[in-house]
Amino acid sequence: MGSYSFFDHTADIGVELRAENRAGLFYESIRALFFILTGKDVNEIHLERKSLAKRKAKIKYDNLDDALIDFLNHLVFVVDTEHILPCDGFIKIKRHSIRSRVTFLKDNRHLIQREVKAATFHNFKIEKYKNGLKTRITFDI
Amino acid sequence: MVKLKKIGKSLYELPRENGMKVKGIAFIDEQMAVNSETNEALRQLKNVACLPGVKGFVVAMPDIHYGYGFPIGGVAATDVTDGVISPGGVGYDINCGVRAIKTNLLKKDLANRMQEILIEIFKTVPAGVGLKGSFVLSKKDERKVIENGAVWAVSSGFGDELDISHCENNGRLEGADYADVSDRAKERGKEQLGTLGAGNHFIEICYVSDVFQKDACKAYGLKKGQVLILFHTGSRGFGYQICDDYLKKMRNKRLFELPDPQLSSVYIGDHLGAGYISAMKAAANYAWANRQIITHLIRESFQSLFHTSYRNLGMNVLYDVSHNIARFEQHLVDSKELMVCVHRKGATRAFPEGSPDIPQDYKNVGQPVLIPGDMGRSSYILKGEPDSMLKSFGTTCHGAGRVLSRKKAVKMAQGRSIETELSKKGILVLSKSTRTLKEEMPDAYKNVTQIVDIVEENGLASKVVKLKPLGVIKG
Repeated sequence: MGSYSFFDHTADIGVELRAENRAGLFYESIRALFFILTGKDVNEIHLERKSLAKRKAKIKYDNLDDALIDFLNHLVFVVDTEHILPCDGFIKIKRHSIRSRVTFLKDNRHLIQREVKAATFHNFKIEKYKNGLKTRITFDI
Repeated sequence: MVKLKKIGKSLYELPRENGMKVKGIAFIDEQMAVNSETNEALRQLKNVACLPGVKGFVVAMPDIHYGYGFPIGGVAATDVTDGVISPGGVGYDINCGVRAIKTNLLKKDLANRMQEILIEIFKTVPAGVGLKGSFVLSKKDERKVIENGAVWAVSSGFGDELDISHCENNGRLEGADYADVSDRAKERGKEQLGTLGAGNHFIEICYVSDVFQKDACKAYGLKKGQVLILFHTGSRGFGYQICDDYLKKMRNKRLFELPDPQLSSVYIGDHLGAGYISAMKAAANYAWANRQIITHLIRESFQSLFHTSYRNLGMNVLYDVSHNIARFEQHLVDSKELMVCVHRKGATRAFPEGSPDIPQDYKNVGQPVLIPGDMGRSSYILKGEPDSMLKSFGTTCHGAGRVLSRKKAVKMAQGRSIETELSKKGILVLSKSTRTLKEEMPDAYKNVTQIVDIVEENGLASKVVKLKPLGVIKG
């Protein structure tokens, strides 16, 4: 099981992700982004099947660590253009690309409380801890 | 703590160390110099001083605070021949800036009308998260916005020629190439033109509470009691996407080792550097077009409420400043005139009288510098002073600067009604989000008076008028 938590940042929002493996970090990043956008954990929302939409994406990478930021910025793009909220997902890590199938909550624009400009590379690195991985990401808002 | 050497009143030096190519200069007071938040931001400034080709010194303004990569309130000039361009030194909200619209109304003319004015503007100017502009950009217009900025907006009926002449760079940067902007950026910007956005973006109705320089007031057309509209927004999703696109490309190139990956850069002469500069100009033009359309919408609101034309209401643009941008400028560096790329992130140009880059109307005075404070205290209009050219690459502060994180601000606001507190001071506020109001409450910012006093003491800019808020719209 992974987790996300927030750390203080003067102007923007900092989130710490922890997970057993890399795919888990991606999964936690979806949940953290949902919280940043709505101020709620996805478990607090009743997700009706008819309000869900799935989007597949393939993100090529040169550097696997950076792919997490690229993935988040892909989600930010979808939120900004389609006004839907990422709430769940399945991530497969391939040799040169990430394949994702992300579930979005649609028709719930009113839940979006915050505009996210981007996930940044500020002091970004993925580190090992105990039996898992952790990272800190700063979002520009 | 970062090593600081006091060299003057509210002036410190960050000596060169650990890979810094130049020293740092910080316009901060004694209280800020020992503050841990400021210290973290100065650490970021030291990282900026490690960029290849950085010239002279890097600068911290008194509103400096911790950002990502560059600190907010930071300035760095890089050599055009062997220096870099850094998207992190501009930020995601390219050409985020402030515009001031004058009126010939006095504070007393708005007595008991503030609520209806705010509601009308709130209805007319899309503000908040995920709102569309009043029109969708066609492919043809998209190209024109990218290439011509505010000039396109005015030629499309959203204002006057005078508006353009009262914008930095006349509301348009030459050299923006449509081909250097990704389809994603175009998609993100398609429905957002003419929108305010959220977070710290705002529209404020305010009045001149104090006059400091009569001559400058005459040149700027300002007087005590006069009502102005100040607003703050930028290039919206269009600019955010451009920054993201090019940072990713520069990060993949990994030309040099840098202390923070968000500082990824390429040489200005590099093909990718040229692509970013062109796309950054496109975003700057988008932002000017955005502020021009919002000007038009605000004027429409006033016309409908006061049943007369905006010209009769004297709603002329005083000035429009950019505080997140990189521009090529001639500066005196180590006693030599040099063309440099000045990165200003959360910092405003403050060109003095006689500068060729300021409007004819202000040439004998110096450019107006618009410094918004927080929504409960005050804002200032300053004028650029000659020392800014020697001490800060023609730059001054851009606002009050955050002092509390959003998390701390929300915690501090628990159990309080920010709207009621402001209303007791005679300031009405409208916002889509109560969370935004808490995050943006006055206590979250430094006192802007303390900030402008420091830039004035150091001769970067001087106070012309103080403005006090009457009504604020937050996105």
